[in-house]
Amino acid sequence: MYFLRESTSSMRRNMALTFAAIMVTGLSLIILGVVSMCVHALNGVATHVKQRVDEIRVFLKDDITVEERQSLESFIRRMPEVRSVTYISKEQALVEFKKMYKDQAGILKEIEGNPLPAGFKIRMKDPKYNRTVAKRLNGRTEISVDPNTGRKEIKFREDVVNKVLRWASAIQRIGLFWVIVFGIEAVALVSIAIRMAIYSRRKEIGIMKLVGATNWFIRWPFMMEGVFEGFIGAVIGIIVSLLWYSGLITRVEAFVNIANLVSSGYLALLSFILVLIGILIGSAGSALALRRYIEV
Amino acid sequence: MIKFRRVTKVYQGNIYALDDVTVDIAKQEFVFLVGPTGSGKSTFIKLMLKEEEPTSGQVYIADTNLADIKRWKIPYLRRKVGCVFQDFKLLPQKTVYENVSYALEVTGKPRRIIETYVPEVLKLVGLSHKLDAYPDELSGGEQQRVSIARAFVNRPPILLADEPTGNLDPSMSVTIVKLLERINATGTTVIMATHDQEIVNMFKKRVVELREGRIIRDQARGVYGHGG
Repeated sequence: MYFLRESTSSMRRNMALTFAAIMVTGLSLIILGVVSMCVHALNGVATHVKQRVDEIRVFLKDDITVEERQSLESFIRRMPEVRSVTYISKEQALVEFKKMYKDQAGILKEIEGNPLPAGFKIRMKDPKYNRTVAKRLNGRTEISVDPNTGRKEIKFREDVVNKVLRWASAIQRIGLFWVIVFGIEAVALVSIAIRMAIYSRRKEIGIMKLVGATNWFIRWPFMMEGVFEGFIGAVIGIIVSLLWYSGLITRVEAFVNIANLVSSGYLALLSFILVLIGILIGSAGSALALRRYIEV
Repeated sequence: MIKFRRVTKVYQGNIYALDDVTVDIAKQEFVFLVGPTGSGKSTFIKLMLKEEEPTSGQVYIADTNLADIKRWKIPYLRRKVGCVFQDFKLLPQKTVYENVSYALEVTGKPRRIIETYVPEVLKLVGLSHKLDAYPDELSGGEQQRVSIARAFVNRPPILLADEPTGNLDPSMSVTIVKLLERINATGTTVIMATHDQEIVNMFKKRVVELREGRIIRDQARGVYGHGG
């Protein structure tokens, strides 16, 4: 009770600075909250898309005979999981490739002849059969081997997934950078606010020392003040993050037609982490101020 | 109780605040530490509170060499050494009662003890009727009595008073020193730094006189002396 009384009255006296410290702490935690939520949502989208891609491609060795190719095709066709098989010749592959990179003339110029392999495009009755079919195909010698990995060239169509994942990691990197920048600033501001609080009470601190107060007894109210500022910052961060969730993420959920892209469990975990980091910022700030300004 | 052994304190710029001071103060003694401003009285007191470290020599309180007390234990030393100053050092936003109870709160005493001790000690200094007054509503003498109550509420074995009558008129000064005398009678060792000649002459206590950091006189039942 004693400590609570001491810290709240001191905060009232340094209103503006306390406010600034809380706001910047809040800002860094808002960014953290929003970024984590976006990254989490994008990862969710990626997983989801991955599950919905029901197509795999296999590439063939260049030197196989037509009979070998047809044998493989009928082998695939006989599988109950397969919906359709399409043969793509080397020429078709090149046409497709050129279409995909039509705006990158440089790459096209590099190509001499036709280095692209022929292959099959296999669609499943359900994406969950991807693995089973791929595993079965792994035993076939007609399929070419990737010289880099030594594995058979059986590819899932993951370009969309990869694009989403790239977005997620870019947002994560940029977001993390700003979280750190504002986090450091928040620590500095809390530290300044606490320093002012110490300064305005230096006479009282002197008297406390005189009557034999231990350093920790003197420090506690200031420590609590910093922690409290961090905590309020965290609350602001959580509120804005939740607004962001309800304003944007739910719309994304509707758009990609996935319910619970960001689960309430994740929201709870995120809130907990924000509070934890807020308190960490607050205590780091006050510890910084106390280390230098309260000496015996 | 208190021993100074060849204590020298040199401040920056080769200023000798204390120069080879050796003195013993027994339990329950009342000592006037006299001398003009700058004679080393304040340094003498600061060394006993471990606010300053001696440049050479040792200071003992109750057979403990203060140099052996670790930093974090200094607060516990200060609970044993009550302190009163010329400028009272009261907290203006706290009442008389709170200013005194504060000293106990700070040392983590339970509320029950605080509620018994504080009225008791305020009664001793004669301020039972002003518990809820604020320091700026009190006269200088009353403020000094609050500060003595605060120093004494922990029942420290030693009470240091640095020019406690410096801001007070002569009759109030006498009241304050009489109060210190009563505290001394309860078994507390009292050391009072002063350059108040009349007070020293009136009370006839042991007098330790400092000049330029050296003890030039140590006399039982002494008077202030000539140079003044």
